[in-house]
Formats: sequence, structure tokens, C-alpha cells
Amino acid sequence: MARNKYNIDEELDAPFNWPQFKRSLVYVKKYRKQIAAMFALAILASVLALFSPRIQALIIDDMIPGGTDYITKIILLGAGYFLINIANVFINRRKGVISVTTSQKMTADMRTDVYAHLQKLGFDYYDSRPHGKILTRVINYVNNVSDFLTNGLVNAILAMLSLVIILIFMLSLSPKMTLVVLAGLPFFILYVILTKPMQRRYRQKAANKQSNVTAYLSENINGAKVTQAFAREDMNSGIFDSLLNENRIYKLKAAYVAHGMYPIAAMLMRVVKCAIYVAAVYFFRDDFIKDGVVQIGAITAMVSYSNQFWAPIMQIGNIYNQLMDAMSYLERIFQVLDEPVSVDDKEGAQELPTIKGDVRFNNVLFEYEKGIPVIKNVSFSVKAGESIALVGPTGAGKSTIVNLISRFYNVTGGTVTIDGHDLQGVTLESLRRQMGVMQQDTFIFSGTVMDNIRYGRLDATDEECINAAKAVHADDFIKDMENGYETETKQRGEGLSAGQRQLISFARTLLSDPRILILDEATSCVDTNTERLVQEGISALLKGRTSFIVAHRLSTIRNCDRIFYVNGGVIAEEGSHDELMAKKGLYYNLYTSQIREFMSEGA
Amino acid sequence: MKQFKWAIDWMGKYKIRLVIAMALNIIGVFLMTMEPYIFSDIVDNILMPQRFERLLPMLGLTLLVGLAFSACRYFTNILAQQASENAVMRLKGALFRKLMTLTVDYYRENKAGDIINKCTGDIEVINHVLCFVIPKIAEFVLMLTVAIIVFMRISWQYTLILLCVTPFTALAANKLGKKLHPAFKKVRKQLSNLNAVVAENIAGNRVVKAFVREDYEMKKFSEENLAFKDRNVDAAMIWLRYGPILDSLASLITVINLTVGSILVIKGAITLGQLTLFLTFAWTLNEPLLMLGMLINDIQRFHASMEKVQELYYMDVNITDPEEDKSPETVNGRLDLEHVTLEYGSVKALDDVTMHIAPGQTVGIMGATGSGKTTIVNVIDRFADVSSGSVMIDGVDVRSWSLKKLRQSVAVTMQDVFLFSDTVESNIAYGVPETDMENVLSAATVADADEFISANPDKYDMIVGERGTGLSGGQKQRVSLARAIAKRAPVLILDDTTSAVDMDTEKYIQKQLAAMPRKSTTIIIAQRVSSIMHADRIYIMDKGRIIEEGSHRELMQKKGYYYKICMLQNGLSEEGGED
Repeated sequence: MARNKYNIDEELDAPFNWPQFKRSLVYVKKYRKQIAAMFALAILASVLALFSPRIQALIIDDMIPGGTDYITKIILLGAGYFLINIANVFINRRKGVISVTTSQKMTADMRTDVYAHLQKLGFDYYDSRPHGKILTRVINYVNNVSDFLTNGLVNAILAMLSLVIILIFMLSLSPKMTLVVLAGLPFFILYVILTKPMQRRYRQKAANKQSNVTAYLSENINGAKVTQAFAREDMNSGIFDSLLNENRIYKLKAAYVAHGMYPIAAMLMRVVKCAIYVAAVYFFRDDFIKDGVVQIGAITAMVSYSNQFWAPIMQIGNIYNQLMDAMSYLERIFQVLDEPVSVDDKEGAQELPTIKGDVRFNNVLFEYEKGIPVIKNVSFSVKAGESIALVGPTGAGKSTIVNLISRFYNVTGGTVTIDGHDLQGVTLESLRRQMGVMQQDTFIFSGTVMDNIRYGRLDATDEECINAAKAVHADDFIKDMENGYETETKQRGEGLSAGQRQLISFARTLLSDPRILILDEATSCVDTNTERLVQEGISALLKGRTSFIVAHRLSTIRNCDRIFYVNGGVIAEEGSHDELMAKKGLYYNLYTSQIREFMSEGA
Repeated sequence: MKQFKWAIDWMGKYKIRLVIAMALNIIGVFLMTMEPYIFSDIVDNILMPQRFERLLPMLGLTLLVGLAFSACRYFTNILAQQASENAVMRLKGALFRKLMTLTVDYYRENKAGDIINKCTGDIEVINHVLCFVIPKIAEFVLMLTVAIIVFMRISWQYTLILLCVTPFTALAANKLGKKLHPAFKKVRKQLSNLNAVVAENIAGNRVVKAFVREDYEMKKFSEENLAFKDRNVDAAMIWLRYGPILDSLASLITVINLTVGSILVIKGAITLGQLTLFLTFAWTLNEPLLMLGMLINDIQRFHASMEKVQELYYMDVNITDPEEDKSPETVNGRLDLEHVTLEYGSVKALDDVTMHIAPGQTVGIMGATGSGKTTIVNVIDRFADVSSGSVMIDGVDVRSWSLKKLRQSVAVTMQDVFLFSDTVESNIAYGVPETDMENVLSAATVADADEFISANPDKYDMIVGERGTGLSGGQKQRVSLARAIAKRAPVLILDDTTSAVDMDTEKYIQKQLAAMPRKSTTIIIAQRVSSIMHADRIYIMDKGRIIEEGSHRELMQKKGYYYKICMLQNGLSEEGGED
């Protein structure tokens, strides 16, 4: 699989297209009532706003010349003016309340969708890109789009509506002059069309570079100790600086184009304004100079319409900038949502009934990357209650075999069955619920030690959790901790030793009361003494359960019913310890070389 | 105010651009006020008397003024953003450098998602203030001043009536700011929580799947997600509550202007022309007041984020370089621990540990889980400083070494293998980025990693996932070992490096290590007897103390802890011989 690293941009092929944009309207549609209400309030506010200049004109033109008699009327009109403004303030407040709650809900919806989809994605997704990049999508990108989807949309529609209304007004006054006003528009559209590819490229680049910055930052936070141990701080800071600089360059490039929008529109507006005067005086003389008197009223009206016509255009230009920005984020969000789920319930998948524990591999073939088989036609059959040890060189395929039993990956060929049920035909939930898997990389959640153990079975009582801890001999060290089971665990279990983390994970796995238990290097960091105590502690619990144990320490392996020696993606030898010893093959060599050396060294 | 200055200082030599941007902004405001005059001139002196010969020059002037205004506007925005992006870039870089000096303690207490947020989201808030809010405030202050001067010159009594409103505005604005501050702090805090939950879910995805806890995780997430939504709405509601008050006060000014002004005209106190001027300039008074609420909003958000950023920037670093670097020129690798004790609160992680290791010697350490083995590594490489006693390399206390020199002289493979999402080659060359391919290859060969790396189609250019996902446990450990070997450091510490490696491979690696031309002083921490039995000296640790020490032979004769473990691991009974 093609992996991504911090300084590789995740390129997107999909060009900006309306289907992408329309798709985002799914979120808008859910709140169409609120959007409609915002729209209605906005129109109401615009209509009310029309009255203010009328009142002002009324006072100045009609009341003032009337002298002292009109003072009460002026005060009344002033009060009316104030009331209208107050009404508008409250209409806008109402609109603001709807807008805030709607856009926040929309953000939450979108984030929930992205997160829910992430829960379905398999290991391959998480393994092939820096985690910081995933995090950015769930948090930052989603934060950036919702405001556009609410206010941006409403304002855009409103601006278009006012464009149409003013156009009608202008046409009714002077169709010829309307053409003069409209003449500026093609230039603006040209600017938008010409700069669009640049805008898009720069914004995409900036978003990519931003994601690289976060990825590198996140990785360096997680690996800070390694960086310090290798005295790489200066070099990494340099790399981070250059990532920041790339991000800055593209942000600024996008800004150079985006900031041009307003001045260009404002400039065009002025040119049009001047053109109106010129046209009135030199070209449409007949219309605007009647009986030798210049029709000032008509000209200034046209000028003010022109201003009103260009205001929404500038606003649309502004919204267009926001749209470009929002799209560069929306695409990334949809990219996550479009990520195919590699391991999912097949159509008509059945619930796996309570597992007895017979596990069969029939000619199983598995490839992570096409053409490179990791597991080559492996077949075996394990009876319920058997314990199987998998040994062999690193990278031989031991972990892969056990991962296929939980269907963390789909087999490339052949079948894996439990109690005769093909795993491809059962629901993942019913399968994994009955499995207890302890993976090589232990993971401790932040919370308390108790929370971490209880993760194995959410409804377990404290006592059950403690019993599980006792079985794996974790009780002693947990009780020695500051607050015992209620001691807070930090992210990833910082502050606990590797062995302690393994024991807590082990308790968690046991608590889930699995029918099939898979222990992948469960105790590799635990000292041998404790490991023996663990083995004693869990032997009763393991009775009747099928178990697969991957380990290197012979003391861990010896007591298993059967041992599979895995080498190069096949099971090279299998049998009990005694059988394999008698066979004098690979396992025998592995076992005796250690003992021999050990005996020759001392004792 | 202090926080503003702090933020602006990060612009460095770009500060001049902000100054120019503000100057252009002021010029722009003046140009904008010129426009009405020009057009009223056109109407009154050109159109009315039909003296059209002056029309074109005047229109030309308008366009020039317009062009100048547009240019001012454009460059104000661009220059301010350049200055601000520069500040933000430098600040982010500085925070990154800070993070590189902070120790494990900090990373234990602070969640990664939260730290990331300080370096990204919070800084974007600062960015917004630098490139938008600050120029805007300057613009508004100017507009208000101009308005007040113009008004004062016409009628100071009238101006005073208008200004009656301002104390109320100031009161409301102050109240809004005070209420918003805690609200934004809550938003900020909830964002941290949300971030932490998502980051943990991503990092722990394997466990989540193994335990089919997707629904549970979804529930955990939903709580934080909805709380984040609510906190945002809360903050917005405060501003929606005070915003209308500010807006109403602003509109009151217009009303006073209109009514009182008209009455004064009627009374003959001011002329109609003066009133028109008042009304024309009303927006210079109104605009700033209408925007006040929004600016306060941004500023309060800025303060909440700034607190987080400064907290990180000024975080105490508990492990620092000595005043004078006393490290030797060439390092031989003699390692001494003299009565080393390390206390965390009341718990002694190390208790009076003494070890003397000659250059080139190999030492093995074994002991129960949590007995302090890894802590020894930490005090040698100064991830923690001893509470008492001292750790010396070549007779010089490690606390007198420059950190860089010390850590270049000590190569460590850590128990938790952390690989970077980068090529295998870059990972192996991590400590010596300038090294040649030959060194990388030979290090990989010693660590027995060459074979599986070469088997991959991309070979050394193969990219590994974050933390090394995609490699098996043993493969990760071997790349991590190669990374340590490639440093060719005088001291080599292997903390549980081969636990996931099979024994044949381990034996091969041991042989290769022993055959290396310049043998490093080596400490091997392991649970497997086979990993340490060949060491010159073996230490057994328990609860932070050394409880047994000696060679394999000596310890076997002693029949203590080590002997017992050997017997257990080899399936032998304690009396010797196979059972």
C-alpha cells in the first residue's frame, strides 16, 4: 500500500465540481427550515432598512423648511426611525441565533459522520498515513466549513435577489443606462474566471501544506523522546520551519489573488459611475438633458442604483472566496467519507452463534500488497479448547495469521472458518465480540487503570475487573500505585513500564471473557518470574477456550498443546513440544541451541 | 495590551510592513472621505451650470483617487497578512523548538491533540487578530478621531450631546468582554477535550476494533462533540445578547444626529449644510461602534488562545544545558553510576544504584516489571536528573555535558519503538542525517534488518507508517536497533530491543555487535536470559535496587533470582537438568 509521510501532499484528482458542492447541501437540507427562517428574516430586515433613508429625506426636505411647528413631528419621526432600527437589530439578533445554532449543529453533524466513518475503516487506513493528518480532518477542516454553509449561502442568495430587484429598478428608469452599468460586469466575471484556477490551486496547496505541518508536528510530539535521544532537535526544527514556510507561501499566494477581488470590483464600480456621467452628458443627452436642464435626479438615481448593484456583486465575490476556501476543506472531508471500508459486513452476513472454538484455515492466501503473498496456502485445523503456540522468525507471518482469525483483514484466497462458519459470511461485531485479542502494540487509554481494564467488558463490576487483574498478576503493582485502581493513566500509558502496560492490556483481554483468545507477544516485556505467575493465574481461565499464543520465550511456548513453527508464510512444522523435539527439525534446533549455549556458558 | 505587543513582536523585521499597512489604511480612509466631495462638486459645479469641459478631468481625478484607494486597500491587506503570516510562522517555529526541549514529564501531562491545537488553532486566532483586528482597530480609532474633530469644529455643544452615548457603549462593551472571556476559555477547553478523544481514538484504533468498541467510542465522541457545539453556542449567545445593545446605542447616535440636528437647524443654531455634513460623517462614528462587538469577540478569543500559547512558550524546562560544557574532546565510554537515587514524590524509582562499566564492556540488566531498568537509561541520557548521587561518563557528571554532546555520545534503543513515517533509510539515519548509505547498510546488516528491507520492492526507500505500523514487532525493533548502531556512539544502550525477535536472529545480532570494529560500551536490558548471558557483568534489579550482580557463571553459582529465571526459561527444574 502506498504510504503517506509528512512531506508528501495527498493529491486530490477531483476537480472543483458542482456535484461535490451539491453533496455538501445534504447537511444544509436537514436544516432547510432554519435556513428559510434566516432568509425570511433577512428579507424583512432589508425591507425595513428601506424606510430609514425615506424618513431622513422626509425630515430634511419637508420638516426643516417648515420651521418650529414641525419639531414635535421631527421628534416623532426620529422615534419612528429609532424604532425601525431597533426592530432591525432584533431581527438580526434572531437571525444570528438561528445562524449560530444551525451552523454549530451542522458542524457537529458533519464531524459525527466523518468520525463514524473512521470507526469503520480498517487498519490499512490508519497504517498508511500520519495520524495528524486524520485528526486535522476531523477537527480543523470541519470547523472551517459550517459558517459558509449557513451564512455564506443565505447571504449569497440574498445578494442575488437584490441584484435582480435593482436590475428591474434600473431597467424601468433607463434601459440604455442599465447597459452601461452592466458593461462593467464582464470584466469582473473575467477576473473571477481567470483567477479561479490559481485560487483553487493555491488554496488546495495551502490546505495540503497545512496538513503536512500538523502531521509533522503531531509525530514529533509523539516521538519527542527519540528526537532528543538522537540529538535531532535542530534538524527537525529546520524541517518544521521549511514546512511552515511552504504553508505560508501558498497562503499568501492565495491571499494575493483573493484580496484583489474587492479592489477590482470597487474600481470597476467607480469606472461605471464615471461612465454614467459621461454617457448622460455625451451619449444619451436626449434622455438626461431635457429642455436644457440637466436631470440631476435621474442621473444621481442611476448612480446610486449602480452603487447598489455593485454592492451585492462585491459581496458575491467575497462569498466566492469563502466558497473556494470551504471547498478545499469539504473535498478533504468527503475524501474521508468516500474512503472504501476494506473490511465490512457482507450483504446478508449472519450473526456468528456462540463460538465453541474450532478454527480452520483452508488454503489461506494473504497479500498486503498485490503479488507479494505474506501467507501462502496455509491450512490447519484447531479443535475447540486447544492452545496453539506460533513460533518462528520475525516477519514470518505469525501476527498476520492471528489477525486473519479476527478478520482484521480479508483473506486474499481460501477461507478461515470458526465452528464451520466462513468468517466472510458473519458479522464483524458477532465475531470480534467473542474474541479476545491482545495485540503486539499495547494501548492504554487516558482514564483510570480500572477504566482501562473495564474496556474489555463495559458492564463488568469493579470486582470482576480486579479479579482479571489478579489473574494476570497485575493486582500487586496496581495496588502499589498512588491511587490503586483509580490511578489516572496518561495517554498511551506514559509513566507505566512496558511490562505493566502489557499486564493491564492482558487483564482487559481476559475480562472480555472471550471464546477464542489471541495473545500476540502478550508478555514479551514482562519478567519471567511474573510471566510464570501469570501462566498459573490464567490456566484455570483458559480451560475450554481455544488460544493462539505468539511468543519467543520458550517458557511461554512449551506448555501449549501444539506448536506451529511459521517460516516464510507457511507452517513449516507442527506438533507438540515433545513431537517436535523428537523430529529434530527447526523447532528442535531453536530450542536446543539456546539450552546448549546456556549449559556451556555456566551452571 | 501586553499580549498584543508580544504577538506583534513576532513579526520581527516584518513589523515595518504592518506599520506601512496601517499608514496605507489611514490614507485609504482619507481617500474614501474625498469621494463625496468630488461628486458633490461634479453635481454642483459641472452638471448644474452645464460646464461639461471640466467633467472629464474631474472624472479622471475620481478614477485616480479610486485607484489609489483600491491600491491602498489591497496593499493594506497584503502587507498586514505578510507581516502576520511571518509572525505566525516564527511563533510556530519557536513553539516547536520549545517542544523539542521539554521532557517526558510534559508529554505525560499534556495530550498530544491539545499541544497540536496550541501550535495550530490557537495561533490561527492570533493570526486573525494580527492581520485583521489590529489594522481595523487602528482604522476605527482614526475614523472616530476624524469624526470627533470634524464635529467639534462645527459645534462642540452638539458633539457633546452625541458623545453622551459613549459611556453606555463603553459600559456594555466592557461587560461583553468580561462575559466572553470565560466563555471562550470554556470553548477552548472543550476543543482540547474533543481533540484528545479523537486523537486517542485514531491512535488506539487497533484496540477499538479488537474489542468492537466502535459504539462506545462513538458515544464518548458524541458527548464531547455536542459539548463543543454547546460551548460555542454559549459564547455566541453572550455576544448575541450584548451585540443588540451596542447596535441600538449606535443607532441612537444617528437618531440624535437627525432629530437634534434638525431641531438645531430650525432654531438656527447650525446651518442645513452643517447638518448634511454631520449626516455624511455619521458613518465614521457609527461603523466603529457597530463593529465594536465583533472586535471584542475576536479580542477575547485572542486572549483565551494567547494564554495557552504563552503557557507553552514560557513552560519551565527542567533539564537544561550546563553553563559550561565540561565533556571530554574524545569520548571513551567509561560509565559510572555512583549511589544514584531518583525519587518521584515518595517513590524511589532508583535507590542507591552503583555501577562501574569500563569502556567497551557489555553489561546486562534484568529485573521484574517496573523495577527501574528503564529509569537507568533515563538518568544516563538525562531524560531525568538524579535526586542524589551522580552519573558519569568518562569521569564527568552527565549534568556537566552539553545535552547535544551527551546524546550524540549515547545511542539508545527504547522499549517503545517509535519510528517516523518516513523512509527506512531516513529512519536508520535519524541520528546522523549526513551519513552515507554505506553506514546505513552496515548498521542494518548488524541489526539483521537488511534482509527484510531488501526483500521489499522499495528497499530502503520503503515508507513506514507512523510509529512503524506495517512492520512486525521484531522488524520495528531491528530498524530501531539499526538506527542506534548507525550513530556509532561510544555508549550503546539496548532497552528490551530484541524481545520480539526470535532467538536465532538475536544470536546473529549479538555476534555482529561483538564483531563491530570499535566496540561501544553496551548496556543490554532484557527479560530473556539469552540476551544477556554473554555480558561481562549482569545486574539484577528489584524495586529500584540492585539485588544481584556478577557474571553469568557467578550468578548461576549463587543460585538466586538469576539462576531461578534461567531454569524457568529453559524449562529446567531448579535442581538442574531437564524436567
